[in-house]
Amino acid sequence: MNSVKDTDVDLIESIRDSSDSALEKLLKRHYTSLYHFSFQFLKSKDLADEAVFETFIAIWEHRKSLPRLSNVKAYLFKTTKYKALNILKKEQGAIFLSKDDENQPCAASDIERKVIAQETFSAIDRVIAKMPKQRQLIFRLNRIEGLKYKEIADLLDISINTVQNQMVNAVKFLHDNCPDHRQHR
Amino acid sequence: MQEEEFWTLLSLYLSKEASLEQNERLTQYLEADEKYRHYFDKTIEAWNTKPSSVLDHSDVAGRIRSAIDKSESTPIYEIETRNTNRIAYRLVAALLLLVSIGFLIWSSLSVKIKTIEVTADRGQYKELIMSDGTKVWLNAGSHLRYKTDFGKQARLVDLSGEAFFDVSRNEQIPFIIKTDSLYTQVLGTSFNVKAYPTEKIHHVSVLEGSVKIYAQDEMSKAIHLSPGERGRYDKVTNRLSKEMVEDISNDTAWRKGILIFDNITLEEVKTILERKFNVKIILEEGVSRCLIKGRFEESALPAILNMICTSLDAKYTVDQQKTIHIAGPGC
Repeated sequence: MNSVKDTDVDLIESIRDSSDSALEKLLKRHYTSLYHFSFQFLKSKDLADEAVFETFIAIWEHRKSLPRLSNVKAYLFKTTKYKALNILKKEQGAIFLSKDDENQPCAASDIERKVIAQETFSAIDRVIAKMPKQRQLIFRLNRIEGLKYKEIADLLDISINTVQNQMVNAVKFLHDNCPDHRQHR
Repeated sequence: MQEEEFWTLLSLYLSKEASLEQNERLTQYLEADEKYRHYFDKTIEAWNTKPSSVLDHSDVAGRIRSAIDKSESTPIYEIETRNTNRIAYRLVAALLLLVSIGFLIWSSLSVKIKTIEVTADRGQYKELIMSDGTKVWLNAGSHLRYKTDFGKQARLVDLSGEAFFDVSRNEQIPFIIKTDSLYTQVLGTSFNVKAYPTEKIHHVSVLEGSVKIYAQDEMSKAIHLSPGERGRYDKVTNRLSKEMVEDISNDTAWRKGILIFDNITLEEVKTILERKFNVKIILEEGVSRCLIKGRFEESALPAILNMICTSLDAKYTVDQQKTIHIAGPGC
């Protein structure tokens, strides 16, 4: 059924009025992004889902006192990050974005498995998945989520310089790892 | 010129973070050397390939739904603002600690009364079971409110919209539904209340048992409804009346997703469809007073619109805002 297209801000307003269908719409719209994002911290499918789950439950529980949001996406990422780090603390897992995992190729097996299962895994997903974790995260936030360098820096508590350097590396990586469809002219 | 600078400029350009000067500089690279032009083309192509994967959210959605349903039956606690005077706070803290044990015992005996609201949004429909065992089906665009002490001394609910009630029998505590200024009072029975705030006439249709309806402050003028009867309340004139209906179950068919239009105007049909399907419909001049008769079981909206348009020799279109327009020669 076609329904009127709601913006994120509209959905938040409906959630404020206790609309659980608006909550589900918001989840549907941002699930993929938030899942990938929390996966970077938690490296487990179940835990990544848990962080997204807790984010939306928190929004529901605080719906009467939600702040006026202009950038709902940034708010969702921030909340998901907070939830993911809490889960990480509980799980006593690996430390996020430590210096030494910088050069490790990212084991994307879980994401891959989940995506392959739906047969929608594209070449670009595979290239992104091969990037080191922090770079992958920054690349996704900029290229796919459309966040500005400043917004990414705030979200991840890193400097704009780091964001920029990682984007340069990501762009090079893209060039080096994507198949060249053009013939040399 | 250096390759390192080229990559920096290219990534700033792709991220839309580059200044005019930086874009200018990038152009110089591209014009200076075929090698850079080739890097540029290949990278742009890769950059523009959108990841196509959209992950399935239904697992998480299901968990959220069941978590919410559980919390729905418990009151929503309001956030209270607290005095931030820390010294005073500390002074009373010790005292509070002593009192709190007593308070805990006391509070377990007298719980603060809160209001619970259950909403079925437009395009939605909800079923709930109250603490007394009463079942309620809430139609699209309706709200039901009740206090957390529901069932203790009274069974009072506030309804805005339409709902079907299957009330558990309790001779001691009558079940009362308040809508705007109409009261519907029963001991135990099943019936439908239709009282959307935007509609002038409210209806109460009785399937089983007996129901008493009365306007605010006029309990003496109450009328009694028996199975098969439909009570009618005019909000404007404050008049109550009743009528015998041939097939009263038509009034509750919405619970099964069935729509029945019994010679009502297209204007009225529009309101029902907008509520049920959460859409916006605009009727062009002429058609709104046409009468519609029909029964639609589990139909999708396009099928219903097609049937209506065929019978009226009208056409419907959907514009870019997803608003539905119905236009025709009129009746």
